[in-house]
Amino acid sequence: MTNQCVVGVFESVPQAEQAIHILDRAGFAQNHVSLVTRHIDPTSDVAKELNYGDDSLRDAAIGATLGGIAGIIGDAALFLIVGASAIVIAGPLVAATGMVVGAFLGAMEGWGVHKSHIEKYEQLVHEGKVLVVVDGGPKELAEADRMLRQAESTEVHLHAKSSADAAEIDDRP
Amino acid sequence: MTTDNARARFKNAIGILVDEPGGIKQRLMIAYISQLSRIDPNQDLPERLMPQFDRIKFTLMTDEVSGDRGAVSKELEKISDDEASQIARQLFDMFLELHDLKETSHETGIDRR
Repeated sequence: MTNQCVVGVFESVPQAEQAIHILDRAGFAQNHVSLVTRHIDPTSDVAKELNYGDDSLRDAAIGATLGGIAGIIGDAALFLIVGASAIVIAGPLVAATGMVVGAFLGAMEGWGVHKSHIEKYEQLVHEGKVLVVVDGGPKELAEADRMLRQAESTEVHLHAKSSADAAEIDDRP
Repeated sequence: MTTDNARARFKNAIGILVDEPGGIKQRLMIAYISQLSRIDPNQDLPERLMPQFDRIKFTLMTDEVSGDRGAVSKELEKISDDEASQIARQLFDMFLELHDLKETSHETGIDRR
């Protein structure tokens, strides 16, 4: 597992989807790119793409939107632990999906994101913003950082853990 | 200097311009950010193509009023579909030139007739 990541903040799911598409076209492995959102349209491109990827995740994602909560946490939590490409939903099912998002955002600490920034990201997601999170090596992250800035992001931050208590090497506004 | 990186990036970019769904501006944005922005003109391009590439880069990344580098998506909002198509055509010409296909493509066109 890498201990650094880039986080791009987007106003809407379509904008974030487009950024993910750009990363995909640039050759970024799907299992290093995650999308965090409050809600997702089951007919959206992301949901459709999930159809060709991980069915359990798609079902979990759509299920969460529709309110079918059974089994979601198990699938999503496992998904997050193995570090696969993730769609994380903080929807109206606050207690359940909140836990999933909390788990994911908590895992971001392992990617060098300081707790205070995790809280900020959590707040942004609750406000309806969409996060695209890319983990990887320094070279890939420099590329991802540049690409997310050139896409429709409102802000992009590069996080890296340099030691146990050094939160970040770079956190540009 | 080798043009391998530029050749590969241009090939991918043209593929995106042709294959991608959506409007020309969206295709251009994806092609530019995912492929062409990773070309270093000084390292990867023959000298004769540098000015043209720099002009395209300027159009897609620089705010004309302030001169600041902006997001490609925002700069694309300022140009028309026709202008975006023109840039795409220029990129295709550069692709042909990089792959030494420019003359061949004309000959092929003549042969078909």
